Order: sequence, then C-alpha cells, then structure tokens
Amino acid sequence: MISIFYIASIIAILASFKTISSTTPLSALLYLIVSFFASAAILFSLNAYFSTVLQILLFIGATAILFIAVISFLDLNAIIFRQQEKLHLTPKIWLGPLILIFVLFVMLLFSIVNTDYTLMTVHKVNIDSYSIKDILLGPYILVIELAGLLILGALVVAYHFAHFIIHNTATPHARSGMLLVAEKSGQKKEKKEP
Amino acid sequence: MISLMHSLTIATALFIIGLFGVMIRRNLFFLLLSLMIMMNGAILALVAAGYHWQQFDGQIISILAISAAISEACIGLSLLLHIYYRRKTVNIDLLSEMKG
Repeated sequence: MISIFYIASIIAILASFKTISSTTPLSALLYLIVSFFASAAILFSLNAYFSTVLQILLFIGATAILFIAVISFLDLNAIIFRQQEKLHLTPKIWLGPLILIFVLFVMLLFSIVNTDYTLMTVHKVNIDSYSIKDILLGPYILVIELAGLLILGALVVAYHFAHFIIHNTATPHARSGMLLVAEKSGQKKEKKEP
Repeated sequence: MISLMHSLTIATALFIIGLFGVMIRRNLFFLLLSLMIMMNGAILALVAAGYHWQQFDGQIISILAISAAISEACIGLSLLLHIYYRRKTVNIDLLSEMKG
C-alpha cells in the first residue's frame, strides 16, 4: 500500500505538471486523466474506497468526458493559438509566478513539517462496526442534499447558456431540425409553462 | 500507515501546480484544467485528514468538494462555449475589456 501511495503520487505530480505545460488541449486532457487516475490510486491506498469510486465515476467519467465534448465543439485552431502560447511560456513570463509560487510552497511545506503530529490524538474508533452508509444517511444527510442541489444549480446554468447558443448560432436547417425535435419532445412541457 | 505529513505534502504540491498553471496560462481552457487540478489537491487533503483520524467525515466532505468541482467545471465550460461563440477566441488577454 505504501509503495502504491508513493508511486501514484509521483505519477500524479508529473502528469499535473505536463497538463499545465503542454500546448495541445487533447494531450493536456489525457495527462489530466492520468493525474486523476493516479490520485484515485492515492485515495485507494488511503483506504478511502468510496472516494475512489466517486473520483473515477465523477471526475474521469463525467468531467473529463465533458471536457472532451467541449473540445469537439470548438475549432481547435482557435483555441490553441500556439504562437501566442509559446510567447507566454518563455522563462521571462513564468519566472515571476514561479518565484511567488515557490515561496508559497516552501511556507506551506514548512508549516506542514513543523506541525507536531503527536499532539493530535487519534481516536481509534472501531471502523468496522459501522459503514459509511450509516453516517451518509444519518447525521450528514443535509450535506448530501446540498451537493445534489449544487449540481442541480450547475445544470440549470449550463442549460441556460447552451439554450442561448443553440438558438443563436445553429444553421437554419439544423435549427429547424432541433426545433422539430424540441417540439416533439417538449409538447407536454409547453402546455404547463405559459 | 502512511503519515499525514506525506499525504498533505502531495496535496499541497498538486494544489501549487494547479495555482501555477492558473498564473502562467492565458487560455481559458487550460485555466479550467488547472482549477480541476487544484480541486483534486484539496480533495486529497480532505481524505488524508480523514484517514489520519480514522473517521469517515473526510470522505463525506470530499463528496461535497467533488460536486463543487463538477459544478465549477460545468459552468466554466458553458461560459467558455458562450465566450467562444461571441468572440471566437478563448484568450483571456483579448477578453479583458476592463483592463484588469
């Protein structure tokens, strides 16, 4: 388990660094997926099986696929602008942020290393006697409902923007097709809405 | 037993890499990717703390963090599509009309 943790953390850090430094969106996305898988392995080695499943299902299965779908909508030449990015990735540009980030990293590492972990008493709860389900549907039910409402709000906002785009940019032919589909599927909804 | 110090160090490194990406990139798409890396680091820290105290609470708060990350990616990507269809670019330097 310990070797899994360290190997996976090295892979996660390398893949994250490749993500922010690559110029092609698709390769950056593939490195991001590798980073997510590696952090899922880290969570697995921390005995958090439920979070591992959530990470793989929601981060890789939902979010990464969403990013791929958005890339396929866009014109790749418009979002790469390679020359400008090359210009921005020169040392002259990123040296200032690198110094600031390094100072922040050293400060955070200093505070992490200097913490006296022996003062933090670990209450040895017999974790086998109850499962995560008992907590999830017991005292923490409001947190779960809040998470659901958060995703619902995001869904409403995304639908609002996508609706605007479909009605403003689709070609007449495609638009009439979309409207036909919308009329067929949305007949019951329209009666309720006025 | 993996020590809390090491897992917190990994989480901090991921967070810092994401923050660095937010600072150097000028492409809205890559900014969203870097934000996902930052959220990943935060989730890792939550689960590591839960593992250290042998409690489930860290994992449950990580559910909230994961759903926050997903909503953020969803809204960010729909905003990116919107900006792309209006201005035909995702370069945030060209989009800064307020010169901020």
